Amino acid sequence: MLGPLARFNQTIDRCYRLVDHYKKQSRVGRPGQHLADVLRGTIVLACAALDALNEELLVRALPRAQRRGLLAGAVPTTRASRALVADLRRPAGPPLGTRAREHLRWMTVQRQAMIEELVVNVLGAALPSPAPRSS
Amino acid sequence: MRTRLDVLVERRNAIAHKGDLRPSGRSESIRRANVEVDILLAYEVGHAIRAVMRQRLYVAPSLRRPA
Repeated sequence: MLGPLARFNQTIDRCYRLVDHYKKQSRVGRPGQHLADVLRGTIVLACAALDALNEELLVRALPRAQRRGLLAGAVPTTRASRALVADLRRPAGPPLGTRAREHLRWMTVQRQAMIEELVVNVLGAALPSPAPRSS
Repeated sequence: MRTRLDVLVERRNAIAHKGDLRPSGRSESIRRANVEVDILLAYEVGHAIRAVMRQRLYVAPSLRRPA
């Protein structure tokens, strides 16, 4: 069975194949409406793939972080993420992965604000700094 | 600040929830080259997020001390 990253890569490959389909069909003249809709579907698929990857990564990472004490410095700022962290910190209850999935299934992890909330404020990871501009 | 990723998600929402229509009722235009950039953006963001999570969990978990 494929892991989350392999599934994500596979879906991204599918996105590129959809665009390739568009290329083959639209060599002459203005492309038809159905081909423009293929591109629209590709955007939706790419976003869904990113959301699914982020959710799966967090479902695996958050319990591991809790077991290692890495959530001690979590500073969640939204109601949903505060509930997630509080649930993970409870000493007894369902497995940590089950708890994490139960919360994350109600969140979409696509926008930058939500990604930063969960990856930086909750997990405590450092996002890569932007590359310095060359003068 | 709206990032490129947020712009992509807004376009996705417009397609999925609003039929990708302008106020006039016509469809928004869509270009293959832009869609290819969007796919690459999603790919890069996904891999970058995985990398920072791995860094946090496995490589240097002690760099950021609990408050």
